[in-house]
Amino acid sequence: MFKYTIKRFLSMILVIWIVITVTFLLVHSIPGGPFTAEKKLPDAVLKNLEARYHLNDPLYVQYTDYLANVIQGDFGPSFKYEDRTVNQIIEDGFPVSAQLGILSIILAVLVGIPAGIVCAVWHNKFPDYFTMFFAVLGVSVPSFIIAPTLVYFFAYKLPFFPAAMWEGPEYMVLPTIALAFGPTAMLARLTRSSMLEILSQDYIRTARAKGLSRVAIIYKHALKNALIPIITFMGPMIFGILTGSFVIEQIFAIPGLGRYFVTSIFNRDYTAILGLTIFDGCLLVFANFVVDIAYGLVDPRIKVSK
Amino acid sequence: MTDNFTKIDQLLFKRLDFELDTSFDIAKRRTTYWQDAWRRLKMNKFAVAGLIFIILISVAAIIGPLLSHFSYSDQELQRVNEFPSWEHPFGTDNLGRDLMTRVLYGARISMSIGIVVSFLNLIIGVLYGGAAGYFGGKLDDFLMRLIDILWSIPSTLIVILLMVVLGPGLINIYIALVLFGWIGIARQVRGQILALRELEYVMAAKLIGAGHFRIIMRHLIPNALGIIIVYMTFGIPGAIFTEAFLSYIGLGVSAPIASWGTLASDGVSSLQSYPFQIFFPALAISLTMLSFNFFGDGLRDALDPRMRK
Repeated sequence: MFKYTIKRFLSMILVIWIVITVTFLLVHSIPGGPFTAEKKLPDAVLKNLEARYHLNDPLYVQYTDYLANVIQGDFGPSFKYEDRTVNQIIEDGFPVSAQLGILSIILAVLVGIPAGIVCAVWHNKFPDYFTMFFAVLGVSVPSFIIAPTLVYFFAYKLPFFPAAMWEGPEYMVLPTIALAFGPTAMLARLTRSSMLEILSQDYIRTARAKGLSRVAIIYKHALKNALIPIITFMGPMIFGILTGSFVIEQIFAIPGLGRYFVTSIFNRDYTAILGLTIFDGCLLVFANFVVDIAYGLVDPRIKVSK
Repeated sequence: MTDNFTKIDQLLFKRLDFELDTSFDIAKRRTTYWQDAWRRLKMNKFAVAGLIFIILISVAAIIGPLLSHFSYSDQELQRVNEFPSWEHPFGTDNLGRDLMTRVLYGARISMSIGIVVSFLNLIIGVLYGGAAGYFGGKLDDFLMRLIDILWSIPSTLIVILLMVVLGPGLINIYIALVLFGWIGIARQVRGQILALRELEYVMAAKLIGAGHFRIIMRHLIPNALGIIIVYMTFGIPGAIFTEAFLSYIGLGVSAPIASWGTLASDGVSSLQSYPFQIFFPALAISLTMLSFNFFGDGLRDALDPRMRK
């Protein structure tokens, strides 16, 4: 297990390095500097600007400088907002995004897993068909359609909740539901198929044969094993919630990281795009690392150290 | 001993008709794998409904824009934001363009992205996965190590960045979506080939002197075809989804060309006053996704009964 953790940790570092290098090279391959898009600046001003941001250094010097800064947690200045650094953008946006993301994950787990259990227990009966109908809908309909639909019905037609902004608990309801919709559906489908597989195992029959109640069989014997494969889904789920937040934060005007990301794409704010991509990328790679280790710890049947 | 005993009169023999009595024949008519799969698929009503809708939307995407009186870019500035009517069944947008034509034209863009991207992914994935699985050893180790690294890179972020660098446009979307899209199918194909190449018929093919190319193309790939087709069916809506997402955050096709993603994104801004402007593109995306999901589920059950859950 220790050896496995070390191995996974080293490969995580490698992947993070690749992400930083690829994003750096991609952004620097954009023709023209960041200031050429503006109205024509006098050459002297341009020279000064380039000197200030070290853009006249050779590429490998810029790269090693940037790498050294990122390792120390410094993503450099934003090119569009003069007195803001990318770090400040992250400090502003990340808490909001994390709040939204964690709420959505909690909602998805609280709804998706019980829904999957209901489906498996009443397999091929009405509750199964009813829940799976919504699950297929949740997998099929993109979040940027769920969100406007929710806003239209629960903010305009029936003014229960505010349609936008992020200023209190009532503002969190609609975005959380919209963001959690897809992951909930995926979780329900996954729990269902995992539960069905477990329920057909011999040890469940043994438990039934010795006279255990249905509830005890499902909660004590089946559920524990059925939940193990679901842990592997946590990585993709965090990924889905993060990319989903790009759209959801845009629609609900939530000042989170996803919205800053999309805004900096519209503004062609290259340093901000670079910094936010690296930040999000590292976050996801790290989440995957944690999930992998957790999986190895939870499932005793899997020998993670080959 | 005369020859009389061994000599048998030909008249004692009678020619029987070749028609055999079939009333006791209980053997089933022979069906091929594909006939069998098609029979199983037909039993799944949702899958058939999905297939019918996919065919309908494909036909509408091809001939719809030709039959329409309007073009996707024609503006009628005195008739902006009109509600649905006989003349404009889906209404008009904020520049007076006919929304039905734009949704049908968007179907062309979105469906062609789905099909082209998943087809390219298929070719790369099958070649890569096939090579890794068939040759095994050091090559397999190397190719799979590479895939492991690519797999753990957050692909959507790199795709977004790539679209920022390349700029909007159809070809660029193909490039960005294929860049990471083939990995999943390559893994699946490799796993299949790895299992198949140990079977006796591959040994037999080797013994009679078949080359690597022939064994892969004629013996291994056809037997892995079920999984490949299922993967492709789920790849098409995946690509449509990602394109819609990219278009939505302003990185997809450029105006005045419309995909379903750009139409939905345009519609959101006027949600309160003109909800029909997002309703129709949203309906088109959702029904198409739903159809592909139902069809894909049905296809998976039909092509590989062992995968049935």
